[in-house]
Amino acid sequence: MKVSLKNISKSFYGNWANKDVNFDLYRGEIHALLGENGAGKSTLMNILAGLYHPDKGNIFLDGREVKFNSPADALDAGIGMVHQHFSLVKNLTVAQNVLLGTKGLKNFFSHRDLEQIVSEFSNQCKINVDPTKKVWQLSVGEQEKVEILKLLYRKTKILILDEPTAVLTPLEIEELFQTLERLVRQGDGSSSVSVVLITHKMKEVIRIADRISVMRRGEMIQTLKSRENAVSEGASEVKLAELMMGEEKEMEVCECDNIESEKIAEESILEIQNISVRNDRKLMAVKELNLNLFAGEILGIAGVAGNGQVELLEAIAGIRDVENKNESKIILDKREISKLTIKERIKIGLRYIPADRHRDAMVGTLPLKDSVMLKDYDTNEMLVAGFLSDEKTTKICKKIIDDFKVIGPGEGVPFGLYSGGNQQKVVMGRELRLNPKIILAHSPTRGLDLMTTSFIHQLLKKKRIEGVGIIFISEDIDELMKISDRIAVMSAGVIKGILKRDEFDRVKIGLLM
Amino acid sequence: MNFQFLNTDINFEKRGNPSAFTSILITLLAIFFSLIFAAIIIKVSGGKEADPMAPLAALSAMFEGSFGNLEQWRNLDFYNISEVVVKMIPLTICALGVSVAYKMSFWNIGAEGQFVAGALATSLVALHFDSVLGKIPLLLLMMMLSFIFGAIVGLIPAILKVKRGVNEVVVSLMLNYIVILFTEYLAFGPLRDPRGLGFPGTREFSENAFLPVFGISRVHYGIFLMIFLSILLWIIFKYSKWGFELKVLGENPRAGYCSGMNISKNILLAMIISGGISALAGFTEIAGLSHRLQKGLAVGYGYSAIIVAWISRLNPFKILLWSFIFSVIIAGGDQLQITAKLPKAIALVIQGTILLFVLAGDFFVSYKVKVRLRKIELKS
Ligand SMILES: Nc1ncnc2c1ncn2[C@@H]1O[C@H](COP(=O)(O)OP(=O)(O)OP(=O)(O)O)[C@@H](O)[C@H]1O
Ligand SMILES: [Mg+2]
Repeated sequence: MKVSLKNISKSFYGNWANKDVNFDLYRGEIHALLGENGAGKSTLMNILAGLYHPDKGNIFLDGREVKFNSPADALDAGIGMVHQHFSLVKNLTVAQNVLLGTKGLKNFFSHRDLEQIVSEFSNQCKINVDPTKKVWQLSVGEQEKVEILKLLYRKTKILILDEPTAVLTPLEIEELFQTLERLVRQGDGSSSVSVVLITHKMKEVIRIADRISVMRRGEMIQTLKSRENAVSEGASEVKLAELMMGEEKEMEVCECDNIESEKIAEESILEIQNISVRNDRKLMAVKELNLNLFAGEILGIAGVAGNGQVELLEAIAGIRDVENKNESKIILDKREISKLTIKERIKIGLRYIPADRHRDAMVGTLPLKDSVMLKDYDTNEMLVAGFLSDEKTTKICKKIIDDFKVIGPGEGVPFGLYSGGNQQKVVMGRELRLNPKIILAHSPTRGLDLMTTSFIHQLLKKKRIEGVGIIFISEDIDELMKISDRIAVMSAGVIKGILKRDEFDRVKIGLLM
Repeated sequence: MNFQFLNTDINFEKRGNPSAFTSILITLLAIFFSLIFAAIIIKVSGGKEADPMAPLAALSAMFEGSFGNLEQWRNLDFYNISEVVVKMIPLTICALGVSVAYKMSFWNIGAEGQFVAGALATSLVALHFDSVLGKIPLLLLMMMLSFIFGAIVGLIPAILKVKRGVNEVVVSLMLNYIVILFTEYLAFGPLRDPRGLGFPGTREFSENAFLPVFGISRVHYGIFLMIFLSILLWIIFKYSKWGFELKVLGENPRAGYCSGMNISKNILLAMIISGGISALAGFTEIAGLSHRLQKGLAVGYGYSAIIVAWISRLNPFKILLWSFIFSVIIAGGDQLQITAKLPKAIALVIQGTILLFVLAGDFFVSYKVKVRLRKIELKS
């Protein structure tokens, strides 16, 4: 099936999210869609997937014009999308989610039947998830897999994946890519699948994409023809970055990049002794774990998602209870904080950037300002005589918007309607704004474009020089090796080993995981 | 053969914040349509009369009931409108009360019971102290105790929710019956006026316990409390730390929790304030109007208040406005019953339809509706 989008335009609140965009997807290709945060990638694909209606322009399938009134229409036509933010039913099992609303089930069936079907199907696709688990118990990475399974099960011919790799570990990414390639290359052509892949990671693009399209500020800038052409046309990371950014100049950064990290202060700013934490399934996720974070260092934590990383951070932040409060210690800047509330920990300078920002770190239904105020609404920074000051909060918002180049539909619009990357920028802006003692960051650059990612890295390094201790969790080992002073490898709820900067080595880290 | 079909596509799409003008227009249209709808209901329910204009006559009787007629205006007789204001006071205060709980998405349906609890507390104070205390301390004591009673009634669903996760809608609704029936029992039994010749209620309080009124009207000083509370809540919602917490917890409790807000504490506090405020309406009603506790006190302000709060999007000033509109309808409904011999419940029907039309109107304000015709050709 060949898809053509012709002259697609779409505006929100008077701003163009897509302007006169043309886009072709050939049968059996993997087509990467690139662009900075807010460039309009998700919007364009949402239009193809029937979620939005274009203001202007047409969609053609194999030369025939089609109109989709809903995602269901698009699905019937064989087009399915995995969104940046998942749409799974949290309280149902994986099997139920995959089979939800599909035809061809018997009238009566047991859980075991469903699980059987899904487990066979997932083996066949080589996408492994436990069909009996409830979705809320899954890591983000596992949820991504369920989404893909769901579409594959519906015999989708055109798979649109909106930033799937942002949440996956390198191994999972490799797995996913192999699956995608198998799907795309298989068969005689009529049964083969085409894939649109939205991502910010250049390496992946060059590795897997047959063709690459680049968007900027709502417009389609260029489509690099075939894989060979793409390479000969110089589809290097540099070239692509140039296409994405255009004339824009880099964001303000400090010169901290060249300050190397030989010296780590001997002083611990955070000491974790012997803590055990349970996950949502009530299983022990963190087991008698010990960890030291020095002032002025970035401590990367590597590991496959779901090995207790989230539980560890939440326990430090006070969001999750520590099981063995009496035998364990969490010491922040020489002060035992195990008994403190979340708020008290925030006040003494603990900042937490959670992985699931939609759920934990922002209020999508309210304007941007409310999310900016979320943690500091009760500090003098935002108050005048005990009352919230519009003037002060507006100023703080404006500063974040300027510093981080936040692009979005504007003031009064619900923050949830900002593009994924822009939401993350605001959350980061909020957490880095003040002078924290420690920062716990889970995948803080997830979904951010190149420039913003490097901007965030710079900012974190700057904080580090100021003596802040930073725990940085990421599934991207390259990113960890780039930014960390030390890397701790976490697996099955314990720290398996800690490497110093001069010992960094992908293989070594991989083995420990 | 060649068939041609016209196929319609209807699409809904979210659009920007509606301008003030469109919002007002839609609101007026909603009221207009609900009146038409009411006319139809009147026609159907009073169907024996042949006069086709009967529904309109009934509606105009209704408005005359609420606003008075020209004759009265010429004589500077504003009795009817003053009666609207009398109804507006408890309605507004109850709506303000529930709006506090609704701000954090705690669905308190118990304003009616909290209102009655406030009335009971007021009466208890008045019956015991109206000849002992001076006016000001007496009124203050009445007010305080009614707030406390309302807060206690409000706390019950809150505690059950926090401790046991019990659904607050069921609990707060059931509590209404308990509180109302218990209060009626007291009014009939232990508190009944022994010299009342069988009158179902307490004795009338001494004048010490009366809220002052304006001139010869029945409009009492409860109106100041109403205005004060509106302003207070507006400030709380918009500019206070607590208001911010309520708002965030109402929209995304998990994010609020992760940012250090205490969900349980806020549920309890919100229900103390919510129940307490609704109970203050009971205080003004007793001290300002009836001056005794009697049967038939709960006439549904607590329920109408839910609709008012909802329609007003929990904005205290809009609550004032909508309470006024609803009071016009309620007062008009009384009039209908008297002149047109129609059931008073017509007023409730109109209230309900206004809510539906406003919600439907809201939908059209925030969504673009695109209708497209397209031809489909079928060959056979
Ligand atoms: N439903 C919506 N309502 C209002 N504005 C929207 C909506 N969806 C997108 N936008 C705006 O349109 C622009 C493009 O957004 P889009 O989500 O397509 O960007 P993107 O390229 O996917 O960015 P990212 O990499 O951050 O996900 C943004 O400015 C965004 O705020
Ligand atoms: Mg996007």
